[in-house]
Amino acid sequence: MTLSKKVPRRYILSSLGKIATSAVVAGIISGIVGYYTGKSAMAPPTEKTVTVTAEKTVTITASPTITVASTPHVLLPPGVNFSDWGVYPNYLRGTNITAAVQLIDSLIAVQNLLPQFEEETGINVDFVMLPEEELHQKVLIELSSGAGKYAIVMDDCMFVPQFVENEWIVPLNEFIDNSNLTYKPLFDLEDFLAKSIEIASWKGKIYGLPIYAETTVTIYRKDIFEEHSIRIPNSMKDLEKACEALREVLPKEVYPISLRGYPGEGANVYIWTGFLKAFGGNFFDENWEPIINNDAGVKATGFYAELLAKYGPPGSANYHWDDVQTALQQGKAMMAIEASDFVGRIEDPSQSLYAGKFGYSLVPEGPAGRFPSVFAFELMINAACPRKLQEAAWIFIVWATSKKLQLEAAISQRFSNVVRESVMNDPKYLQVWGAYADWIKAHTESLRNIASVDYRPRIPVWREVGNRIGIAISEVIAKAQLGADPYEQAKNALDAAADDIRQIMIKAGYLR
Amino acid sequence: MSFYRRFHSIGENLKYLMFMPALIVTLALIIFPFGYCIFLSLHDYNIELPFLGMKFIGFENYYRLILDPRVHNGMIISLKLIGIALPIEFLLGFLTAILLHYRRFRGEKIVRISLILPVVIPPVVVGLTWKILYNPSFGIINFYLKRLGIIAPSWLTDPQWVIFAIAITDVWQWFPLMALILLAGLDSISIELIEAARVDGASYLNVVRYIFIPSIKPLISFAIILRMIDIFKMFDVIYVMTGGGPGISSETLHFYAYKIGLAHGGNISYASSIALILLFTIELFSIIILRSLGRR
Repeated sequence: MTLSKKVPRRYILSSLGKIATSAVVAGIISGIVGYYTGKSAMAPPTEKTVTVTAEKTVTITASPTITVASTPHVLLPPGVNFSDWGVYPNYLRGTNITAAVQLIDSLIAVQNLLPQFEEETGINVDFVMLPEEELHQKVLIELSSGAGKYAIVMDDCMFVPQFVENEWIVPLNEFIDNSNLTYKPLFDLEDFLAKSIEIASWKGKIYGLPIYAETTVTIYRKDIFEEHSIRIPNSMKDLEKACEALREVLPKEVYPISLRGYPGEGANVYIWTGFLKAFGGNFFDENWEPIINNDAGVKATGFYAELLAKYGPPGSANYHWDDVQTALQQGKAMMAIEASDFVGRIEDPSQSLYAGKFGYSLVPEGPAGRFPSVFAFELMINAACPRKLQEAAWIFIVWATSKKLQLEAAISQRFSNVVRESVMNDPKYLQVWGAYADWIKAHTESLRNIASVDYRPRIPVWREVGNRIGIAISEVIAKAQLGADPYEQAKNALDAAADDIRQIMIKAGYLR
Repeated sequence: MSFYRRFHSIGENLKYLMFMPALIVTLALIIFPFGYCIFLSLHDYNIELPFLGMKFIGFENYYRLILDPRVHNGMIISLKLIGIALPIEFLLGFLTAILLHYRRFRGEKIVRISLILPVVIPPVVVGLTWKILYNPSFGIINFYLKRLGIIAPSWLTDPQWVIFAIAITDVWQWFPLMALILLAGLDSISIELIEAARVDGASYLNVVRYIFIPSIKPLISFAIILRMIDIFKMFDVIYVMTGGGPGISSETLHFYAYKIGLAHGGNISYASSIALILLFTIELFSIIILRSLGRR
């Protein structure tokens, strides 16, 4: 009895001792590791700021487009200071705000110059940096919780209606009209690309300022097209012909065209919409009844899938934009209809094997016309934040989207998709991007004149609707690549999608 | 005596105090979410569109679910995955366990340790690695298949092959776990029993059949249920390798619920009803397996 009692106790004591010792050892090790990783993680930014301040002084002295000469003429309210990008009041000094952002090129420039902004205005800005998909999910969670942790959120322009209807973000008009916070001649709302502002507006008010604007263009390999004297596709028919001609001259594992097939409202739907509308289709009729499965929709989807089945790389149904980009950079695909910001990466010799060999033109025209996209990343202000933080956030947004910063991004980061007309016309911008005259022409022509902000329907339930369509398109492509009839598959898949979308529209109150 | 009694009564209260943390955690993390899930499934609510409000709709989500082709598709794909992966995992695991149990050999420990390696790799990493292996243009699998003269499918984008591709990945990662569980069972069988049988003239196959399998039956059913539940709710690998695609060809029921509720537009109430149905399906299958295998 005593023996049997003693043994387990000793056993328990010894094992407890072992656990305690190992916990202590593990604690010490993780502490040391944590200390060093924390140290090494903290090291680079400090290094970065040093190099950047040096860079910054150069650019400021060199930028002649913005003059501070107008200062004396301005009657500033007391306690408001003037700078070469706008005004900022004293009472915001010492405010701390957090911005949830994706680190695109223009924001790298913003991040690099941030210490100067913080010193000047006394507003401290922390960045939470995430990739696109994760950023969106984080923003959704943050906004829907109403916690007001991030004063500034950066997100896809397509979600503005949803955010506004949920009262998650605030209209910016009152900030624009407040002379304590905005100096209109420098802010210059008209200078922003009109469509990038329009797409961030809902029911007559502006809810976001763009920091990046893109459209879709046709990208093709100039050298190959010239060598085989193939016509640059101007219409959907040309596109098919060009693919056919390329297929004959290209080796087997090189593909004439690559388009997005990965399901998602911002993935395949983004490119496919240009086809849908060119063939005369649309998402909804005037009563919000889904009509993607009408004749035009089936024709467009069938055409899209057929192109990829016949002339696209295997596995196109899972191609996101980065896969298309890799195919172009590595010479696996000769043509793509893609976002205009590709130019920064496919023309970069350190990333692309065929830099300098790409040509650009408008997206192909269909029976119903030509439909390039509009897309912008918008900086928005969280409605759950107190007024003071919102004002500080506004000052930051004005600064980050100012002419000065956009130009700085174009020069130092080779940022192509600027949002201000004055920067697009600036000699310094043209010095960087003027070499790609056909790109500038296609990009600006589409974004200024042809594209419509209603490229994809701007409704609060767009995400659900768009993602449902994305699945249908991906399905059609996958089956077409296996040899099924793309038009028949398109009919089936789009019918099913239209049924589901109908349900979504009923729930959202558009349909009865 | 009174001292003892007082001490004893403190002990009585202390007992409740001591299990309070566990009770609170269980309530907060299991009971409440489960109840809330049922509550949500009876309502119409979209977390991304709170301005539409929350409406009580009774069992409408369940009616919709019964008719939803994507629910049928998801259920079929989940069952297909289990049907393909689970038997292979079990056979491979059982064979490995018997081989390792058969005779001690040099380097046995190394084999046992390396068996646990795939199990401890995060599924996301496994998914990414296999995604590269399966790549039709530069993946190593298709490279060697081509060399052998086999026309290889493009695994992850071919609606017919994608389930096999995912099942193979799952088998690779989890058959070692099966082997380890069964090996532990085999190691616990007393050696005298086996020796006695051998002396009586039983062949090794008979030993496996009449001694091994009956003695580790509870472990077999445990391992099978564990893997079945895991495959039903497999997420990381599918998320990384296919995202449920192409189309909905690899969209399991679990993944469909995730898409509906979070990734593709916040319809959390419908997703909750799918999750509940999934829960009851798993429960049902577990009971069937336990009934058929669990009895000694």
